[in-house]
Amino acid sequence: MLARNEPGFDLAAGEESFPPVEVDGELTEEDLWAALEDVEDPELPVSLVELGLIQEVRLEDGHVTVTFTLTYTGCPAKEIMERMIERRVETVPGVDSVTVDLRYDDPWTPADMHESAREKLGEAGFACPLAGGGVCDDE
Amino acid sequence: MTVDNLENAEESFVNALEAELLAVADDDHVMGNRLCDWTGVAPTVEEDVAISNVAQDELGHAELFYDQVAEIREGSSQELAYERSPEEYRNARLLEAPFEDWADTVVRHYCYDVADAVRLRALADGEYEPIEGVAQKVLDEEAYHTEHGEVWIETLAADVEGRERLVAALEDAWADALAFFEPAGEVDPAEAGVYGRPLDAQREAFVERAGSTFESVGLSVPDVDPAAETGREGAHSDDLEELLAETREVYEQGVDVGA
Amino acid sequence: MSSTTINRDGFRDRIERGEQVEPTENLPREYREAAQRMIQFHANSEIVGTLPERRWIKKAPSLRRKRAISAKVQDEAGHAQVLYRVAETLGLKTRDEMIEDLLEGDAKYANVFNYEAKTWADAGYIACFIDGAAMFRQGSLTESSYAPYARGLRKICYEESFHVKHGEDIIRSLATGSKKEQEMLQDAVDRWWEPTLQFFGPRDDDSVHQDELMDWGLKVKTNDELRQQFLEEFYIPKLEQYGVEIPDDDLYYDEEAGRWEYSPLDWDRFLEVSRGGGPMNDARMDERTRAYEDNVWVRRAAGVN
Repeated sequence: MLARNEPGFDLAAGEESFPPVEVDGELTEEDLWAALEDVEDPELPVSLVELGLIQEVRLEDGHVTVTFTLTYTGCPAKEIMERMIERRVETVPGVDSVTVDLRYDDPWTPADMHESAREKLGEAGFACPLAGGGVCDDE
Repeated sequence: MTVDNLENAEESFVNALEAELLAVADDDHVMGNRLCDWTGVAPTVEEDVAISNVAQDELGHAELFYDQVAEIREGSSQELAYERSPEEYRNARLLEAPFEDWADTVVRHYCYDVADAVRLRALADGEYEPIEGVAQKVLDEEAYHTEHGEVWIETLAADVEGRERLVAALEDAWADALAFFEPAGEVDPAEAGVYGRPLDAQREAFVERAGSTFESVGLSVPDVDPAAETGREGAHSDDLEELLAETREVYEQGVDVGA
Repeated sequence: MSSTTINRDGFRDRIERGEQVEPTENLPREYREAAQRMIQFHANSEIVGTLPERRWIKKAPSLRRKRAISAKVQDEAGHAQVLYRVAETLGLKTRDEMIEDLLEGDAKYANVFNYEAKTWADAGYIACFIDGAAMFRQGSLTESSYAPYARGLRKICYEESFHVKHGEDIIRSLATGSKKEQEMLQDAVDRWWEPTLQFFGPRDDDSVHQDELMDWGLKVKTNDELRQQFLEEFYIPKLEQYGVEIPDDDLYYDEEAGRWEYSPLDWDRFLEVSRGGGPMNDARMDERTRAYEDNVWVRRAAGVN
């Protein structure tokens, strides 16, 4: 509905239909990781994979277990993320069921972010420490 | 000895674990809600953001530990937070009263942070394996709070009025802070294996850490015994009742409760 | 022709080409003053905007809602922090001066915050529709000619979009809930309809500063344009989606003109409220003043005035 003037103004996020996934041959965990690249953080212009929040993807006889964590325990976007992960994985051909497991035993740190996340956050004006020593641009 | 599955654990262990986790959750719940009193009206705009962030963390921790309790007993974190009477709460009395001023906030919240960190460390070192990751995550977040508190103690202590107010707040809070380390259940939780360190030793560690912070700015902690009423046995002030009533106003009207 | 005028004319050309300018450049004084007024208004609105909602944090009816609303109100304070800093880059006023202006009644903030958030439905309404309206305004302002403002708003918009999601979730829950919940939602919409439409500011014909702000490229869409865009793309579709009755019997879509026509809004009342006569003006300023005065000693101790 709104164009580039309104970054993040996608009210349907979390409900949107994800692009179809094509799987060559037998479904692998790599396919699932690739599919999860489409799940964006609800508050930031980067994916959960790039942020380092998806920690493990396990495929066993068509059942997928995605282990993810949060940057902080009080994160208000928890439920939205859980739902998006679940819905994204469900769209992958060959997946029968999904379990999304929120865990804290390997706590997230900014070092878990991919370089691409740092770059994108820096460009969008998100300041340190998330942007990993980027510039607080509004100063 | 370690416990990784409660189904095979002894009943006394499970009961003690449940009581302590509930106390942890109640502490975070009460503290988190209290701190929300500053959101929008904190001393500076920066502090507004900072203290609201801390409040959010505490509320997040409450939910995390209520979830843990809900796995042990029947029910949900939602029911645990919204449907128990004040007498069923196991939080420390230290956390109940509305804040008098910023010094009172700094002192009580700092005491809480240090005490909570000591307790969580003991919990992580206890026999219940699955709690370790959760406790560590919370400890990592608490480390920022503690640092935040230390900066404020130093700042206020360097000002004449700030110092007076700090002293008054410390006088009021210290006996309640010492009473933080009491069992929430029927048995001694450290003996049962829930904590890797006895409660008395936890209290000593707390006094050493918090006391040294106050001493480093020339303040001495009051020489008093722990308060007789701790909150851990369910005896609470009217402040708690009022706070809980406020948190339940909408819930009890049955409005938007399914979320 | 003086060098200032040449510089000024060159400046106009740049603005008209859609360029954005930095505070380190040689900016006309009139430009700085216009930008100051607008950004200060925005920053004030964020800080005052925490007040109607703050008491609902504790009252949130679930742990999940509490997490979301506490994050939301914290974000507003964070936005105020960013915007005051952006305003300071203009070099005309310090933040303390701006906050004093606010408390002395010399600086305005969004009128909508002079109304009371009476129920939990109001808390949901504000998050969904007031923040929604703010997103339309701020979204357009990411193209503002003052570069630090435009940059600050891009980040703010990401956060606002989350507030709107949180608000809409409450609206959905109430709209699909019990009769009592539905009535509470309807009551909120009935009371907030007019203040929400007035949130975009006076009609273009009545707006005192708009032409100047548009000329300087500080604003890129007019109040009436944004009001229409909001009605068409968000407000009406959402109210219809959730089966809420729109409290204006004369509302219709003029196909030919391509715009929503609605009953005249009470602009005299709008002015009265902006001059201090709204239901909550005094309460808001009292609360802000108390927060400021009670903590004078804290700021002195911290060396921040």
